[in-house]
Amino acid sequence: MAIATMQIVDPITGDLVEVSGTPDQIKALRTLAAHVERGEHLVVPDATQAALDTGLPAFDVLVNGLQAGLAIVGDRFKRQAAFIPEVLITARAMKTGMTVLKPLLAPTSQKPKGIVVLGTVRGDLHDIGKGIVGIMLEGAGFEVHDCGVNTSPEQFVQKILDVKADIMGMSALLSTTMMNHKVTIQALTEAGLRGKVKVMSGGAPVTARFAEDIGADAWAPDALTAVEAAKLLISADWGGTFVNGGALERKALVDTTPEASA
Amino acid sequence: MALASMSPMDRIMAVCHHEIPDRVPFLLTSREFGLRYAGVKHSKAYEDPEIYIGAQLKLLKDFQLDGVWDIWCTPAVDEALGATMEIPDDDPPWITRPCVHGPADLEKLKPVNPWRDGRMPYLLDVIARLKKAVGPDVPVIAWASPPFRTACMIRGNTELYMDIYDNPQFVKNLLEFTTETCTAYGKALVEAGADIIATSNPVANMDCISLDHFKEFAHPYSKRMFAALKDAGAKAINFHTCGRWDDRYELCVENADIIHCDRVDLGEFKAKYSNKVVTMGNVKSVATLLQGTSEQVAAEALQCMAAAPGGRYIFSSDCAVPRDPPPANVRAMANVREEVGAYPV
Repeated sequence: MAIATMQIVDPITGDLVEVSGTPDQIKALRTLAAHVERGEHLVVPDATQAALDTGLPAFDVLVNGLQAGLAIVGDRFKRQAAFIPEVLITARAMKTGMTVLKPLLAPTSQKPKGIVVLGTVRGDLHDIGKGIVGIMLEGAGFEVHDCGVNTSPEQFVQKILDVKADIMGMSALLSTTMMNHKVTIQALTEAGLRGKVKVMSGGAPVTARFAEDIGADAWAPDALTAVEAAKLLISADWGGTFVNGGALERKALVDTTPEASA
Repeated sequence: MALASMSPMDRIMAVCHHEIPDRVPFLLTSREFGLRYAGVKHSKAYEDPEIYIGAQLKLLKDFQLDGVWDIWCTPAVDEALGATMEIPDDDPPWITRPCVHGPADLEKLKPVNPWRDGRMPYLLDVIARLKKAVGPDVPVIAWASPPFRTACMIRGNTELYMDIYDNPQFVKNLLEFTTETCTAYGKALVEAGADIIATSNPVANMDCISLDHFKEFAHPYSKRMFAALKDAGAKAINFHTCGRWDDRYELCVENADIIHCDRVDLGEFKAKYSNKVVTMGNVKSVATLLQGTSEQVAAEALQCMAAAPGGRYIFSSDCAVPRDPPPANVRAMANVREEVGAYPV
């Protein structure tokens, strides 16, 4: 049987990996990834089904098709070659594909990289930056629970308990409301959870120094670096020291599917 | 320092007109800091005009500023169009619920009357009172939302960003409407007494949309609006480039008189654009003014002052002054202007 290959950015590790399969399977995955990358949500369900029809397991279609498409746009976002509209339509396209895959994915087939509770802190109604972080974390294999905007410390704590979160990510866009990052960390401590949950602090006015001062574990200047910081926080290598995302070096990602430049 | 020989208005206009003023003009976007400094909660600004005006006059006097600001960045047009605006007790107001849920809603929107609808008459009254209080020698600076920002607010950011791909003609139709509405409010600001129109478009910077989309959906509408406001008597347009704008400054300077810079090297920016715009900025408002010491503020302020020789510069912070910086930090900025701000710098 003929074997074909393609390279994708592994959305979980961030490494460039080679995927092999029959020519039909590789063609279907490339097509699917390209549709996701271009945000063509109306055709993604059919393209997802077409990939499944080649005999690929649902998990492979998810990682090598849907998430691979999002990873391409995520990398462009990091390099200022894609912007919020492109990320939003790509995430929407990926979600339409997930509606096809979800019933086929066994609960244990994709163990999340980690569980993240996200929210914009109390008093702050800015949603979009935190939403982009959530999209990128999901694309990287994290399970994300978004509490939305104006999230009280009590709501953060309750959600963390409900979903057994590994990481809490807080956002704020105002220099006044960012002070509630500290209040939220205090609530986490009072609930006895601080030792169990890693804390990330971000948003336009939030600086690395501020995040470190209030006792967060990590800060990142943008959504993709936040993913890198989250990966580091839950890795065995993290030694408990503050993660300054601004100092993190990301691997250079490349567009790997022929359709990517279309 | 030598006694000031120019009025704040003359000082600001001098830099706008390529002339050297007596000393470096000093402006701070000071809505929330001013209220905190005066000891009143933010929400009170929307209950009694004199409370807000008192706060601005106190800043003007205590820090020797060269202008007063209206209740900057209040999304009054968006609210009057039907979006829901909430005013927290001690934080700035924000739109919590948009009102345009699709193209059909655009058909139902009616142009608003700035002198009648929503909270706009209140804001215009604040401006008229401010102008009366400071007289002709001090500029009143009033904020007008650009069309793209108001479109985002009444449609919802996420929805509008996706509309750019899903239904670009709808976005353009919406922008035509918001251009008309935002221009009408801007003209009312001038009529009420605003000397300078300040604007900001943080949803159209390099962190949000591509240069191509900026050229297609944001810039032409802003340009048309600002031209109309200049025709209506605005003495200057002050464009705060919140966030990163490097790839689109060439366009921004087409229709602005002052660029209130966020994250740029002032010297480089001035060298590149001072033939077209006045450079304003940019002591870091959070990292330094809010979180730093007065010594750090003074050191950074001195670095900014390196942009002053030759004029075409207004000393300021890089964004709105936060609510809670120590007054000593703001004082440190004023002191630097006082100590080294006399021309020749």
